[in-house]
Amino acid sequence: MTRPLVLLLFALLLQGCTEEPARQVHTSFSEASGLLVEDNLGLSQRLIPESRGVRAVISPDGRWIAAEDSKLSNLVVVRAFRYSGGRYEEIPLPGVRQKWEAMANEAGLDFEDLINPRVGVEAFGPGGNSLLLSFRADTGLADRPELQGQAEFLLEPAPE
Amino acid sequence: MPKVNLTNALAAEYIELFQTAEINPNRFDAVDAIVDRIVGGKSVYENVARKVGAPWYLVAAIHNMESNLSMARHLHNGDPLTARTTHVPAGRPATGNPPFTWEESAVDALKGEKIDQVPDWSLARILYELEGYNGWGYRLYHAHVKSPYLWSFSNHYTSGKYVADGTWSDTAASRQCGAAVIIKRLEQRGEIQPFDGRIPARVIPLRYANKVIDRGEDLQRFLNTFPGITLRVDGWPGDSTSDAAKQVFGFYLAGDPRTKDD
Repeated sequence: MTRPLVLLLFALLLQGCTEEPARQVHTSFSEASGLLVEDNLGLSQRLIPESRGVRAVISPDGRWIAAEDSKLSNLVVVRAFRYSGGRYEEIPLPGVRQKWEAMANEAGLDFEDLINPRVGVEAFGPGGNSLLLSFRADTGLADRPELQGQAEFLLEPAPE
Repeated sequence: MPKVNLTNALAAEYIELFQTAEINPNRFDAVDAIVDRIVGGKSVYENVARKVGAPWYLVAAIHNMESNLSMARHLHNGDPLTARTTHVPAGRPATGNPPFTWEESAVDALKGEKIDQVPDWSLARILYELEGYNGWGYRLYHAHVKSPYLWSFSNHYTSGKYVADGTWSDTAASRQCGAAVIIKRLEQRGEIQPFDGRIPARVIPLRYANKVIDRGEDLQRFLNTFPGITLRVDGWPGDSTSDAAKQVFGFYLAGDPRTKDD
């Protein structure tokens, strides 16, 4: 009876030694320093070097960071960063432009005509595999002065 | 974010642009419609302006640029006034309780941009603060385009802007009236004190030169408005320009060699 118990305890001990400690990620932003991400494993990386303002949202597992980047006072874009190989890398979200184009076309406008376009980060999906964004812009049209919408984007996991 | 300093040269540029700004004729009705709405809300803008120590029309111009004069949204970012802002900048206003009035939100947004710390409100400073409020991206990275945030709907802007996905387009044109254009129209309609008293008069040179001179082109353009005069506008007021001046004024340009014996 004691031998299996010892083996079990040894196995648990071994698992505890090999398991990576949980990553704890946090971000900070200042106009002077930009958006900085740090973790408890020693990562310190500047993700956005300059911006008027940034609001960063970290996925529950820390694999993704979605940041609202205020490029101008009336223009906010969202940038997505994926953790891979010990660093974050920016991953384009081409669907964002397509969403804007669809919204603009629906109002009879071109994508480039939108006024005060702002994208917002609403939430990461379950498991951090998707990102829900909100879209709002003015149109300059009397009968439909504002456009609003939401869209969910699948996030491709980092290659193993 | 790199910042641009308000140098004497930049101040002179702002004044020059403001003085020479002309509203595009096909946009005149649209500009007047905006100005009508702004004048209608003047007392609200004055209340906010008093609390941040800024001109009321600056508050109004920013309001138009940021949220199309909607009184239902935060001036910070267009989020609804029923709660604190949830998008960048999030959590504003930090004090007070929702729902917020537009005035409360506007005061917080303008203080957040340090508008309440501006030392003076000369014309150049107004235009500088407006451009800085929006961000210096145009001036720093696309200097061939005068910021549409100030000059859209005027002769100083044709095209070039950041589009919705944050990329730059040289061909896209802003469909939003610029803040300086709004202020110019307010001035023209007598809704605000004219800026002339604080602006050096523009002087068109009436002198001969063997080279391109400052505002030489202005002189040639002016002379071209008279019948029979078709000067090449090259900024070089030589013999032809002086001839044209004699035709219009009855004397050659000062410094013309042909007047040496006069």
